[in-house]
Amino acid sequence: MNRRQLFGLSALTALVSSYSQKANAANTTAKQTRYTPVQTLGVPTAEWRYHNGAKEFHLTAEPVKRQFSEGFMVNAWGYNGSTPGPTIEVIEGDRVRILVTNHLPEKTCVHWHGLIIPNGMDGVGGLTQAHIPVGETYAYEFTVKHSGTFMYHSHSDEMVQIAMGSMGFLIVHPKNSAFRPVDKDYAFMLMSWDIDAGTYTPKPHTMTEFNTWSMNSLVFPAIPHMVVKTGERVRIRLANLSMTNHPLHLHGHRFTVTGTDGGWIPEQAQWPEVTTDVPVGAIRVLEFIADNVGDWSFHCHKSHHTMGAMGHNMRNMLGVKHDDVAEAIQKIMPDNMVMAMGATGMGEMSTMSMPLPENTLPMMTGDGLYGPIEMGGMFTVLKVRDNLPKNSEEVGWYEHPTGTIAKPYKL
Amino acid sequence: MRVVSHSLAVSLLLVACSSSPPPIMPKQQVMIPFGTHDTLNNKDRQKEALTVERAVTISLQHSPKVQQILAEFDSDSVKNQQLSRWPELQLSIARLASGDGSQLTSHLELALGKLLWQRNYRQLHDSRQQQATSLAYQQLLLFAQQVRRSFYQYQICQAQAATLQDIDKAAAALVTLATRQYQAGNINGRERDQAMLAQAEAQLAVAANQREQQQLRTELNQLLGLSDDDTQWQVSTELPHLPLELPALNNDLVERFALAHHPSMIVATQTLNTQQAQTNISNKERWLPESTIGVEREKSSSEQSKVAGTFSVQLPFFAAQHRRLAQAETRMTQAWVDNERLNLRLQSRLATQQWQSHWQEARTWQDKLLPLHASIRQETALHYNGMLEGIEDLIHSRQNELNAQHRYLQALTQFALAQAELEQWLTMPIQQAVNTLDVTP
Repeated sequence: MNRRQLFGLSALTALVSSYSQKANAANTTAKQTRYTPVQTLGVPTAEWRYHNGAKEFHLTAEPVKRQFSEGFMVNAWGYNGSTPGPTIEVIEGDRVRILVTNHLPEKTCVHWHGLIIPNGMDGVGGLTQAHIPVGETYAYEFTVKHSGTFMYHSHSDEMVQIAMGSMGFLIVHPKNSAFRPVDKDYAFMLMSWDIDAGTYTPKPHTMTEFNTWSMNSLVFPAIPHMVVKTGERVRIRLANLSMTNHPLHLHGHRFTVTGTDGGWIPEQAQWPEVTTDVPVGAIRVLEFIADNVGDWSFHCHKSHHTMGAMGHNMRNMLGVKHDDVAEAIQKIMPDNMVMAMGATGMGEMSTMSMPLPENTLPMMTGDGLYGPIEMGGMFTVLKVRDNLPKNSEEVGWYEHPTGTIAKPYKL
Repeated sequence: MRVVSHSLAVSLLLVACSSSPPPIMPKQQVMIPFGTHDTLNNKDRQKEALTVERAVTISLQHSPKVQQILAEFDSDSVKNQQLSRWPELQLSIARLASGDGSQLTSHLELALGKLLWQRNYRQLHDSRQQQATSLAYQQLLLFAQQVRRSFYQYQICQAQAATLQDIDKAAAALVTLATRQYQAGNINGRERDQAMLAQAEAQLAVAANQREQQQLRTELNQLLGLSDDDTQWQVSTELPHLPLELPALNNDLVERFALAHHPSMIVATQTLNTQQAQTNISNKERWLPESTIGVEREKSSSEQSKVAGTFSVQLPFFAAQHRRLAQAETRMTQAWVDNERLNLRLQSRLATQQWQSHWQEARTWQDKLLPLHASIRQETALHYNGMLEGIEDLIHSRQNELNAQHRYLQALTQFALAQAELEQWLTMPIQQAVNTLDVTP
């Protein structure tokens, strides 16, 4: 095992350990009300205490360092050391008090996106409250009236603070635990970033030309897989605080959209989909029965969103043979390896291991059982198995039964 | 006389040879001893690369210009001796026609002045000889500097050719790419034409460099005194050394050193001495100008010859004017000397400042600009690997780096020329001057 592998394994172990602890904490609460805790993969669940008649959470808005993937670290802003911030899970009817301490370099405030709460708790700086000055703590207190999927995000200097990652999930489980129960509940925060190659800090003023697309501030291949047992009912909650819409597509299954940030969609109003578009500033909740065994891709269907950073101002090399030109250039640049690329497409990139700028991921990467997966960004896998090992996270690649895999065919 | 003047020329050559800058070749490179003919006729010697020291040595041995300087010095020496040492001896013969036949008169006269004031005339001769020697030395020094300047300019021009050719190759690669991209329908005609335009400009730069090389090579051959087969030499590829730190030389030190050692000051001083000696003679002659002593023989056809002694002297009616003229000429010479001194002081200071400034510029190119260009090119290569930038960006980055190398070579040229200029004022290599200053109380 080399140093890189050891580091990756240590980080993964720490992540899993942290996740497990939070999952256990959530499970304790869950047992009281029998809801399935939400797994915001790669993101902790917020801890709380019961104090002065309310479930009290404490969010610290602060600069954080987030490893989007091995070899790709980002200077971001978040809460409690994470972006997205820890997922707040409460139950319909709970009295909730959320303390927000501002350790950002500028004033902030927090808006509870989708919640119906008193106006003064809405968290719009300047309109409904004063911005939280640096170093101070403000308290938001309200009763959560409706169950559903909601989020929280900064509402001060929004362009910068959201662009830097100040966001998180707020999940309200129904008081009636029999309402739409699921076996697995996942949440993904969709986000866009513009991080130049060789840098660590996103550019908050970018409007459309983003180059990094994340789910829970992670990118493929670092986004954890969803591992479910055949026949389980699965819920995936998708929140979009990026600057463009994302058509999320699930392979191998049909799902229905069962909720938005406006509430649950009545069953008679639901329709089947394999792809659902998540608009900017919106939430979509989809549910399905995992009845198809295998490793199923789950990804944004905008193909640029399933890639790592690449240049957009380069000339089109498709169909332009230039091996000889690369050879000629190599002679006047003996210190560097110059290879012709792009003449037959870009898939060859995934087979090359070439030195890249500091803190930069390859444009496409990831290896599966049958070779390079050639993906990046908003891509993960739903693993459906008949039987799960004791530790679900250790499920390997699906081994196809004989005769069920595409193979070479002689014409 | 000729033996003496030739020995003096030998001395001048030795001095001029020693004024070459410190060798940049390995220590086993032998300094060409005086007396051996380091010509380029020998085929084996032609394989050796021409260095700046060899260029100076060859030019001092072969250049017609040097021969001219030495011949002029020789000629001046002879004239000086004639004018200063030997008294004028005049013989006149006249045949007069008279009523009783012809008469032949012969006069033989010797100017007395040079006999009477031989010591003064010897002083005049000595100062003139020293003046001529210093002048020849100064001319050889300037000539040696000219050879060094020409050598460095040619050498670095040739080195620049390599960078320009690489820039041209990169431009050709861009044209190939653009042409194929255009044929594939991936770019428009304007983008292709822009690549072709850039390549044409690169080719023009290569051609201009070749022209400059031809011109500089011709100039250097002229200075070396070479022609025909002898002109097939190859210049050393080792460029002038750019020291990490400059020797400790400030303006005051250089000025004092130049005033003490530069031949132009010696020439000026000797000119003043010559003028002073001339004035002394004029003072001596004011009471006995144009005096002669001689013998006269007169023979007519009808009589026996008569022989008598003669003595003549010009009455010193205008002696005062001669004296005043001499004094005026002395003042004129003094003013010229003062101007020479001022020029030497100012120019030597300027040479020091220019040398330091050009060194700083060349070092900045070498220590900061070139490494930054290399770093940018390396980073661009990484971006290219990640398909974050295209191959055109990579090629442009390399071209920028090559352009920077080209400009560094220009800065190095300026430093080498400034150093040659300063060494001309110091009359020796800089380090030798520093060592001399160290031991001078």
